[in-house]
This record gives sequence, structure tokens and C-alpha cells, in this order.
Amino acid sequence: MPDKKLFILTGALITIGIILSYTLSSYVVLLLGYDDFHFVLRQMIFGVLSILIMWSLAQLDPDVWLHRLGLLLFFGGMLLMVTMPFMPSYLVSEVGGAKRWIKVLGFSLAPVEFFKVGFVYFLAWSFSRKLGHHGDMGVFAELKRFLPYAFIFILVMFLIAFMQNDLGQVVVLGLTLVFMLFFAGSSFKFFFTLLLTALLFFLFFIMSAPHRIERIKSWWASAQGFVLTLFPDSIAEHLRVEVIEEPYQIGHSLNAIHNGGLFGTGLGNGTFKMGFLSEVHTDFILSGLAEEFGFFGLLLVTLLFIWTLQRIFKVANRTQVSVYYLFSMGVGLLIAFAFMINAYGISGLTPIKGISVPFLSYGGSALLATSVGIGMVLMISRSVDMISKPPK
Amino acid sequence: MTNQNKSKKIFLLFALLVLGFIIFLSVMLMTAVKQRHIPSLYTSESIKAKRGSIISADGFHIASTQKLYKAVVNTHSIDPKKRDLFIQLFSIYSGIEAKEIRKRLKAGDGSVVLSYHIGPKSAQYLKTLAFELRRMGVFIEFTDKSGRSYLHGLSVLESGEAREYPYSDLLTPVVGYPRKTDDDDGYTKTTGIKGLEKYYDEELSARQNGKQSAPRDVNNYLILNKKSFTKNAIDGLSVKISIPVTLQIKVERILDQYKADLRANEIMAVVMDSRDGKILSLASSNRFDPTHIRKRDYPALNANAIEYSFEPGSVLKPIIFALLLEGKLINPYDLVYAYNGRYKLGRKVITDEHKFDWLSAENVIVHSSNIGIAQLAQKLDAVDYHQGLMDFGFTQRSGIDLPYERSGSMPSISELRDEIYKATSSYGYGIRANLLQLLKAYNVFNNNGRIQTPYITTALIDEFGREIPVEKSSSVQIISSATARRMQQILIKTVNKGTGVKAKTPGLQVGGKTGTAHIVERGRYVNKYNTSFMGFANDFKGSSKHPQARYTLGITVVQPRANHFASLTAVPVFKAIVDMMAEEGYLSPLSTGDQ
Repeated sequence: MPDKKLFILTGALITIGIILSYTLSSYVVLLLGYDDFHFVLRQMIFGVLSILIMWSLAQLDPDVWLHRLGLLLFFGGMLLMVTMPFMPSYLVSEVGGAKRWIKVLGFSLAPVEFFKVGFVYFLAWSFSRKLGHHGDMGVFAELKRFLPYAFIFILVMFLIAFMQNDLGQVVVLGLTLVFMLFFAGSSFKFFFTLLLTALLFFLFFIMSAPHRIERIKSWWASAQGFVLTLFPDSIAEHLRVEVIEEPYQIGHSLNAIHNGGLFGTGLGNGTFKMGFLSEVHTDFILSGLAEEFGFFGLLLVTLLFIWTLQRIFKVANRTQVSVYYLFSMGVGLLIAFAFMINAYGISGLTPIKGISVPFLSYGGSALLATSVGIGMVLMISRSVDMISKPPK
Repeated sequence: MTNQNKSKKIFLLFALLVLGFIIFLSVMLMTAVKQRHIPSLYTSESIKAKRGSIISADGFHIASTQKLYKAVVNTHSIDPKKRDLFIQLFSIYSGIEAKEIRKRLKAGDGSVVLSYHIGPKSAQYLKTLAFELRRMGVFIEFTDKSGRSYLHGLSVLESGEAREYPYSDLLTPVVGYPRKTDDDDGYTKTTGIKGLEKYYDEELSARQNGKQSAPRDVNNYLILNKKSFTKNAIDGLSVKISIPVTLQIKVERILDQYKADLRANEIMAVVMDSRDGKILSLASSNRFDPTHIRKRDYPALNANAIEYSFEPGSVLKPIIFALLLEGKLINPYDLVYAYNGRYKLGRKVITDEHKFDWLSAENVIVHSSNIGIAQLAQKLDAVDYHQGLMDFGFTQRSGIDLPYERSGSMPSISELRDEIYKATSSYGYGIRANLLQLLKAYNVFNNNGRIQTPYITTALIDEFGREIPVEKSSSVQIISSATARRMQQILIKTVNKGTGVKAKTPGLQVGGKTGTAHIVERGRYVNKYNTSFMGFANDFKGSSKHPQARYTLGITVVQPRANHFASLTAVPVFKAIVDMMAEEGYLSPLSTGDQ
């Protein structure tokens, strides 16, 4: 039997997302002259579709279908992303010079979302075949073993980051890759080496452009308020930057959270969603949630996420098949990183990146793709004994 | 890889993630609870109430108020790349030249007023533009010195009100004129200074400014919901007057024509409904545009029909005659000796224009004999003389709803004991009155002996369009109706056979009396004259469906230079107005066959 709890938890998150897409889109709807139900109707269609897909996938046999579906998502997604720049404009929508969406039946779908799940499956599949326990083989040997994946990752990075101009996705995928590598049997040494390399790369990336330094500075202006409280005064004084302004978006995000207080303004009563926060129904959905439902509303949603992750990891832990194990871990990591990067962004802890919150943010492709991922985990959970105590 | 190891790794990861979530939640909790300066969640908008209108009997807005708006933009808010787009679009929507807008933007740093005088229609367009500009991303956020970020757009705000007179000089100086004043918020208002604008200033003035406060969006647009608060603006009352524009404009044209022909300083005319004192026209040849008052308009600013007191001359004779009749001191058929035009009373010599020997008392009026009325007036006791004139309204304000009325003057009781005062007063010297006072007195003859207070305003109209009638003072019987009828007949005879013959109109009952008097300059009578004709015009039709029309009319010509006889100056004006009123259907003359 597939894991009922996981199914219900994701269903609950999707439902919350639908409600939020209605209350938080009120300003955009007015500004663009859309129908009141423009956003909620679309989110509802995708939400229902997602739940149906999860349910259907959960009925399938993982030994037969997981592999087929996983590779289909990987290669299909990659193919679409490669060919998309050359497709005619009636098939692809272009935003800001980046072709991210394919038009299907009046809806726009982003292949990259589906590719992410495929990518995770591909990694799980090849890691489980090629990688075993590191067995103290040394960092260089491990690196050599890792090189083909590094190559694939660089290719993917190129596709997503440059052709689609979507750096946020690359960060999530990169982190997922490194962590999956660790779970596939790499040594701590290698794991940290990779993380460190990534961090250095990241720093270099920031230092190479003055506008990115400015951005970091302005991030610190908003983050220091919290971070410096953790240090004793004497140290904090040295770290304090005499304020350059709080970035406009983050400032209003924090205003929204503050305005919500502990219990929120109530459904539909938010002020900062009214044009102050420009992406409140997508990237800043957590701020919108915090404004209308307060800290406790946010706490509830976060707990739902933690519980969801716990179920996914439990599936990973209980399965004996290493592909299933790695894939489930990968899906969990995708969701966890996306949520975390977004959450830290909107609270001013890290510089903001355009990452949407799984299940909650408005957007059909991300919702469908994440649900396909969950559906596949549910498929795996059929083959796993979720109830009895694990054997010692 | 052992299961044990795998579980440990997963648990470690999960614990790390949970730690991450806890950090996030604690930051959120801190943000929610810790003090933070957030922008105001509410905004309010004031809706200034307007001054009421002055509306003619036939529904024209003679004076009305238009709101003016200003357009304000912050120079830092405009995206430099879209500055030209902003300038072009604003120019199209506002009708202000692009060059002018560019200049103003360049001159300013921060908040800049692009125009103060935007009409309501353009203001509406500009508000739409402001919204469109937001959508086009023309406005960007900027940071002030204290590090606070703002996103400002184009604001279109009320700047003041302008009083408009669509028919320019029509009904001036009766409507009056206003003055601009600034209220506490720098909003320009108008206050009445003269005329109806002054008399009804309190009623016309805006009663309650409206206010709306509500939650807002980023553009400061109000979000009207259960948390919003609205106080409606209550405009000032509108004043509905009894004068129809269509009649007034024709009377004014006649006066303009005669002013030129007679080379007079000013001609004034009043038409009043004899029954109730309702004014149908109150016109002057000397008018001005209340929105553009020039220096040479200054003398015309006063409503001389009430602010100019003059010695009425012979038009006073019928009043004295009526008092004599009412006191049964004379009979119209008594004979009076007129001394062939020259009569010495004490040291005073009284002369007549037309020389008579004997004539009947009533013909003293018909042919306007000074000598005749001077002798008859001696029969009046000084107290009755004085009281009688008071009863007819002399030295009393006429009570018309206009400000700054002069009450005039007349000799005291002790002076009237003197025979010379009795004599000179009887033909209208030593007494000063304004046109409205004379009209009010003459109306008694055409209204069965009852005196009526003239009025211009029939009703006040509130914000719901409800008419609140203005309370009228009741009429008082001051002479018997028999005396009034007798006087009416004598005045008709004056028109048919006497000095008013040029006013004769077939098919109508027309009566009246001429008057000419020297003007006093620096305490002496000079060879300049005021001429008047006071009278009435009635039609004969009288049925329950069409009640008889009865109008009292007063004409005063100030200093005509072409001629100084009332019969050649004031009477033709009277006649022209009566003819015009017949044409316009205010009077229905019988055709010659009916007579």
C-alpha cells in the first residue's frame, strides 16, 4: 500500500496553495485587469490534476514504471530544453529573452521543472550502478569517479543557467547533486571538498561583479538585524554596517511578516500584498502567508513540510533498493532546498533568489512536476513496509 | 553500505534540515514580534465639498463652482529611461505642452506640481493615466536620506475651486461676485462679496468636507471594506431664484439699447409679480463679468436698484394722493387752482412744466402738476404725512434679499409741519429712495392696497435635490382696496391721457407715473436729471385656469443726456419691456376685436 500520510500531507499543502493563490493575487488581478478567479482557477486545475497524478502513479509497480518514467523525464526534459530555443514563437513563450515555457493546450509548461525530477532519477540510477561505498579510496580517486557526473552537471547548468537564465534552479540542483553523492556512498572528505569548491565558486561569482557585491551588502543590511543579536555586543559593533538601505522587496517582505504578527490579519486582509510585494503569489508567498495567517499559520505550514520530508525520508530509509533509496532522498532534498532557499530569502537571511515554494507558489509546472516526484515516491512506498519497526 | 549507516546519515540530514527550519521560524517569530517601523496601512482622502449654485427660474446655472485639481509627481520616482514616455503621455492627457512639463521636471527636485489648474474632466483622465503609468512600470522606488524606500506615482489632488459664471455678465450686479480665499490646507475656496453671492454666502458655502479613510494599496488607492470609513461631502445649498434667464437677458438687451440711445449713465429696470412680490427681472445696463473684474467695472459692482438713493420727483405724487384719498381729505373731482404755472408759497416759488388754471384733483396726477399737489398736500397732518410715507416703505429697507440696501431719507415730523416741506416732499424732493422702495410702494396700487416685500430667491436646494422654500413675509393692508382701485384708475388715465401716454399699449391695462428730478452734486441741484417711470401692466384675462397676470414695473434712467423728460426716456423703456413681455407670453393682450 502506498503511504497514505504522504499523500494526504501533499494534498493538504496543495490545497493551502490554491487558497493562497486566490487571496494573494488580488492586486495583480486588479493591475492587469484579469478576472478575479484568473489565478485560483488555474492553480485549482493544476492542483486537482496533481493529486490525480499522484494517486495514479501510486498505483503503479515501481519495478516496472519508476525506471521508464524517470528516464522519460530526464531525456524528454533535456531534449525539450535543448530544442526550445529553436522552436517557433507560437510554441514557446519568451520572457525577458529566456524561453522557459512551452505552450500546451493554452497552458504554459516549463520543461525544467520536470527535468529536475528526471535529473534526480538519473543520478539515483547511475550512482546506484557505478558508485559503491568509497572504501577509503582517496579524494582524487573519488573525484575521478565523479568526473562524468560533473560533466553532465556542467552541461545541465549551461542549459538552465544560460539558455534559460534561471540561476536559482542550478543552485538547488547543484546542492541536490552533492548531497546525493554523499548518500550514494562518498566520503565526508569528498563531500566537504565539493561543498567548499562550490562555496569558493559562489564567492568568485559574487566578487566578479560590483552589482553583486552591492546586493550582498544590501542583504547584510537587512540580515544583520537578526544575525548580530547572536553575537556579544563587542563583536557585533564591528560587524555592523552603517545602513545602506534595506532592499525594497525584502523590506516589504519583513513589513508583511511584522504586520501579520502572531495570528495574522485574517484571510484577505493583508496590506503588503497590495502591490508592495510584487511577487507575492509566487516568490514571496511565504510573506503573504505570514501576513494573513500570522506566525502560527506559517508554523503550521512549516510543520506540514517537515512532516512531509519525514515521510519521504522514511520511505528512503525503509527501501532496500538503492535506486529507490537515492531517488527518494533526491526528491526530498529538492523540496527541502527549494523551501529553505526561498524561506531564507524572504526573511532576509540570504540574498534572495527566484525560487518558488514547492506546492504553495502559484505555477502549474512546478506543482505538476513536484507531484510527479511525490507520486513516484508513493509508487516506491508500495514496495516498502512502512508500518513495522525496522529490523535491527 | 549497512542499513544502520544509511539510517544514521538520513537522520543526520533530517536533523540538519529541521535545524534550518527552526532558524527560519525563529527569525520569522522575531520579525513578527519585534518592533518595526512599517509604512502606514491606512490612507485617507479628503473630498472637499463645493459651494452651491445660483439657479435661474428656468433652470440655468448662473453661478456654479468647478473643482480644480493639481498633478504632483516626484522627480526621483520616474524611471529615467521612461522619462520621455511620461512627458509625452502627460502632455497628451493634460493638454500641457511637453516642453513646459520638461522644464518643470528639470527645475524641481523631489515633489513637483506639474499644473494647478486641471478641470474635473482632465483630472479624471490623468487619474486613469496614473494607473496606466504604474502598469507600464514608469515609476521606480527611490530611497530618501534616512534610508527609507518609497514608490510614488503621479497623484492628482484637489487644489481648489473656481467660481464660474457661464453667462458672463448676466444678472450682474444682482448675482454679485466672489473672492478667493485659501483654507488651512492651501485649498482655494470662494466667498461671496456682493449681491446674492454675499446675501446667501452662508447657505451657499460648502457645509461639510468629506473624508474617506481606508486600508490602502501601494499606490495609495483606497480599499473600501468594513474597515473603511466614509464621511460624505455635503455641498453648499443651491439658491433657486425667481428670475428666468430668458426674460432677464431680453430686459438687459433693451436697457443696453436705450442706454446708448439716451446717452445715460445707467438704466435700471425691475419687473415684479404684483401678487406676491416675486421679482421676475432686476436688470441694469451697467454690468460686469464677475470672473474678470476690471478697474472700469468698479462703479458697476453696486446693485444700484437698492444701493442708489435718489430724489424720486413726481413719481411720489400718487403716494401723497393716495394718502389724501385714504384720509378722505379730498375727492378726485375737487377742483384745484393751478395759478397758470407759477405759485408762490412763502418764499418758495413752485412751477409747473405745463401751465393750467383749474383742474380736477385727479388731473393733478394725470398731468403732474407740482402746484396742484403742493396745495393738496397741505391738507395732510404732519404725523399722518410721515406715518403714511413710512407705511408705503419709505426710509424702510425694501427687504429684498440683497445686501447693502440703502434705506433712504425723508423729512422729520417737525419738518413736515412746515408748509414748504409738505409741498416739496409731495412732488418728490427732500426725500430719497431707491428703485426697489418705489416699486414696492407702487405695487400697493396694483395689489388691492396690500404692501408686499419683494424677493428674488424662491427656494434653497439641498444635496438631495430637495427644494426648501424660503419663508416669505406676509403682506400688510396699508390702504383700503377701494383707494387702491381708485389710484389704479388714475394711473391708467395718466397713461391714456397724461404724461405717460407713450406707455399706452392696446389690449393691456397699463398705468403709471413719470418722475424727473434734478441731481444733487456737492449739496446743490445741478442741471442733470434722473428720470423714472413707475407703473404696472396687467392683462384682462382672468379665469380660474389663467389667472390675470399683474406686474409692477419700475424704470430709472440715471442722468440721460439726450433728453431729460421722463416721458421720452423712462417711459419708452417701460413700453419696450411691456411689449417684449407680451411677446414672450407673460402678458396676453386682448386683440382689438375683444375690446
